[in-house]
Amino acid sequence: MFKSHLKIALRHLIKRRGFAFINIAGLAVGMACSMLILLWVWEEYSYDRFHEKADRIVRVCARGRIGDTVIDQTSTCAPLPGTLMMDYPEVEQAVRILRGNAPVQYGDRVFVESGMLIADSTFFDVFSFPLLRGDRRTVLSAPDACVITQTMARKYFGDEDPINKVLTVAGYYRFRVTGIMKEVPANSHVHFNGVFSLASVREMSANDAWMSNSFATYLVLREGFPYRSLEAKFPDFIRRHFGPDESKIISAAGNKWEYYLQPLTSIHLDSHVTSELEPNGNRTYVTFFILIAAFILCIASVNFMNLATAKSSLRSREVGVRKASGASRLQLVRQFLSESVFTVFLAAVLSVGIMELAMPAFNNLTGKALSLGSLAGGTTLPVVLALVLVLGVLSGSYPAFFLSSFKPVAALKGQPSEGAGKSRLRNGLVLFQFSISIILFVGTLMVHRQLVYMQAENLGFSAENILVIRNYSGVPNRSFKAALRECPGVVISSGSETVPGYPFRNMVATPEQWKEITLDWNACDCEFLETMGMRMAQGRFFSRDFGADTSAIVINETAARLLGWKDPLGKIIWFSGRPLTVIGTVRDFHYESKLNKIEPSGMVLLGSPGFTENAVVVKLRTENVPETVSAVKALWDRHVQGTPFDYGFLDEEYDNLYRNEMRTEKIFAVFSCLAIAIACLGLFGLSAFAAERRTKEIGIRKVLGASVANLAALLSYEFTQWVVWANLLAWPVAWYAMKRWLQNFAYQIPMDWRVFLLSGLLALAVALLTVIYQAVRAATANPVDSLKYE
Amino acid sequence: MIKTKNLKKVYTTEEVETTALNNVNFEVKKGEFVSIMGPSGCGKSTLLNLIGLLDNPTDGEYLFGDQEVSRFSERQRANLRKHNIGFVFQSFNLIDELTVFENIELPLLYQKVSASDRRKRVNEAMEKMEIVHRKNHFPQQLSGGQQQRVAVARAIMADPKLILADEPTGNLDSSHGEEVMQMLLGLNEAGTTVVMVTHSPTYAEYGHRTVHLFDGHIVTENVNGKFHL
Repeated sequence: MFKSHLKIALRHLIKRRGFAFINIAGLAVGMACSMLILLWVWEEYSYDRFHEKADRIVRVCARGRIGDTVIDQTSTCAPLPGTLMMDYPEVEQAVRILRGNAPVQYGDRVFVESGMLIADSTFFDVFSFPLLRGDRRTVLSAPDACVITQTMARKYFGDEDPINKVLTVAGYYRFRVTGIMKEVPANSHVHFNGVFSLASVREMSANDAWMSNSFATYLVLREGFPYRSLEAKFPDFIRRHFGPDESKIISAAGNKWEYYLQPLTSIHLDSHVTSELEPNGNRTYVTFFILIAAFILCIASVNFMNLATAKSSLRSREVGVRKASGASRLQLVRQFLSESVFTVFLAAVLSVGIMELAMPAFNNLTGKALSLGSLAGGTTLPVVLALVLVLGVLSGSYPAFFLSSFKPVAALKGQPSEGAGKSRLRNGLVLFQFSISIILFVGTLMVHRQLVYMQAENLGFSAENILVIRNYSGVPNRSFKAALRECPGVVISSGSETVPGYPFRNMVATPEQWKEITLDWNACDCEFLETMGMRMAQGRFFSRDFGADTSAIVINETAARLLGWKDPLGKIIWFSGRPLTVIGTVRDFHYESKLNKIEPSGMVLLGSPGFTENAVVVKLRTENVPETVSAVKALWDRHVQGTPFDYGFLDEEYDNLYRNEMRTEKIFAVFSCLAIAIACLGLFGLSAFAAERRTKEIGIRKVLGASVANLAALLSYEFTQWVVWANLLAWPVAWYAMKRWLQNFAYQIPMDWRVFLLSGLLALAVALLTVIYQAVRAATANPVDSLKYE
Repeated sequence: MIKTKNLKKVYTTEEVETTALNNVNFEVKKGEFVSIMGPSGCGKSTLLNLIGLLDNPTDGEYLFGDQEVSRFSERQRANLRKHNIGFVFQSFNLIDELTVFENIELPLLYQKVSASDRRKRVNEAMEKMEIVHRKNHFPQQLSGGQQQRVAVARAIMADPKLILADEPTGNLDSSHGEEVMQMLLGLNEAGTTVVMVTHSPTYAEYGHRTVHLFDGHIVTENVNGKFHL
């Protein structure tokens, strides 16, 4: 029986190849899209689950409020984990991690390593990053030990045995390679090339200040111990261990300080605090994409359903014959369901091929390294088969129950009972498909506009043609900066502690008549303002003409506003025991992404105690940029020894802040185009079918004098009217969804009705193009033929 | 074999009620060959559909054997049909996507007959109908007469007690028509009850009895004088 079902299914497909193609191809593309997205979602959920103790590992974070600054950060202090383990036996293990960049040297090979971890010796015992050589428990126990990845080992040592070789880090620290590890899996919330023993950086590891926060701290809790219970003990813990000075700060009026825990496996999707080791994913996007996947799958199965019911009139006689031959309704339902499962199966086979072909492009789009086999670990096949079964039954159920309900007598006469109910359902489904397409269109346009707005508009500084050279020594390079002034391609340059797009240090100061305020600090040379193209709101910037500028401070407008200073010039701000005089107010500029609000910030002159020169920013002329860059490199190599020339362009690095958003935009664009393409494929099939069904009507109308244009309009109207209605359904949903998405950003574009109108028109135009072909073809046919047809 | 009492069938559309059959009392004895005649639209096919359990009457009684079946559910009717009734249609009603063999095999599939048994019985039927050489052809590749022979083969596949033929010769030329009539006659002589709707007086005379329908009523019943041997 089953064989006979398959046979007839196959023969039907072959007989109506066009329909079959639309059906299967549309479904295959839809399945491939949604499975790719689900693969991505799967990976997002799989983060950090490869660690053996994944469900017992938590990260300690700190949050609170000092002055006006709200703090929520991964950075905690050095004594925290040790003290926790002493106080609470349920904390079994702990590890502190620092992340850094530094030049690393072996012989004549020097590279700047951007992913280095400095960690306690327990690192490999807490985490299960795969080790190739070395014992997990002891590999980092020597104070000068380090474990590097295979790739890094090859980079420095080639074919030599790396074990016990010595690497020089930042020109000072010497580390002995004691172990080799595999590359960090893609689905880890932190990536690195090597782990270096924290014990060798004594001034950090032995720092006993409770308010000096620089480490990410991870704990392994006792099996089955709920982390919330440990959290509950933290207030008491802080009371017992914080020194008098620290207690005074955190207990001052309005101030607050507390620790909380994040389960390791939720970090990637849920943690969005300051000083993350890497930009994390975003649960909102994951939800968005699950929805998109579901939408696309819906659109594709709706096509399938629509075409199958449309085609049903062709099967009615078969239903009649089968019923007359003794088929029960159940047997017919089973037949049509197995046909649809079979068709979906063909689509699935095709979709696996499509996925395989599209995988490189998809990985490029998402920045991941997914593959069909690797990630799901052999579960892809059962998932696909389950999907086939579910989709086949779901999308086949309506046609199956519909067809099998035919009265044998009517069915035998070959009269398709094209009831009003059925076409209403079909139109409803078209309405649904296009609503989704329009929602996706609106989404694409809005995300695009928000990105353009964030990247280009009103940053408060100019990021174009600015070279950022990283200075790892932290010592100002006077001779290099002097040489830059002579370089023909350079407009102007300045040393600086940090630049927009990189973290600004967050420290407390005491303005006159105020208790405390937290400022985001930077230190720079006199040329910084001009180099960055920033503008003053009041007063002046640092200048070589004023010797006293070493005790001057320039604040931003937000700081002046927060302090309530109409005329801030001449006011005093106390910082680490020194009075700084406000000499000017700089116009607000977005040194963080527009996801965040501009905070109060202050700038002092480089050379002030406690500040280092970490970067040199160089404004280049627009012409001959590559030549200028190599000229600057030549100067660097001459004036700065021992540190490689490590640079980037500020605009590109600043745009990195929007990596997530840019990716979202691209994915949105690609998948909304695919969604509407699939919807149109279905519409094409439906319109072909409608044209076929209405040949007689068209013939009669023609004989009575209807023009081709009349008829084409009549036929197009049948479907395009639903696309128009789809807007009414789509707009409120899209409005709500985009409103919610925009809440992610501190600075948002306004909702624009034109975006909605444009999306609607776009969908309409595409739909019209799709149906007009069939409409014109049917309308230009010879009426004699169409009348004879019946 | 079958007996109807005041059988009534009314088709109702939104505004119009059409009475297709009105108080039809009709009986067919086991082993009989009955022809039904009448002008277009007189209710012949409706009567045949009711007898064949493809449709339920609006009113009246219908005894199949000694079972009252006029209120049977779809499932019950399907069950009764598949073991007792074979259909032959004017337009053959073969499934285009199935081969000759598969079309004939269809009723056996629904009776869950084993594959080897099916093959044997289908082959026998094809031999009887002289269409073995066409067994792997599709209906479109056959002449009208051949298609009807396939349809007849399919109708007798399940060894039905009753064969209902709705203008079986309507789409055939006279020589093929004659051929099909001979087959029906042969089946009847072998014991199968046959009820046939026809427009042709000549073919009607193959039956033992001709019933004339007009506007949903049985107007006359003639016993046909001549017997074919």
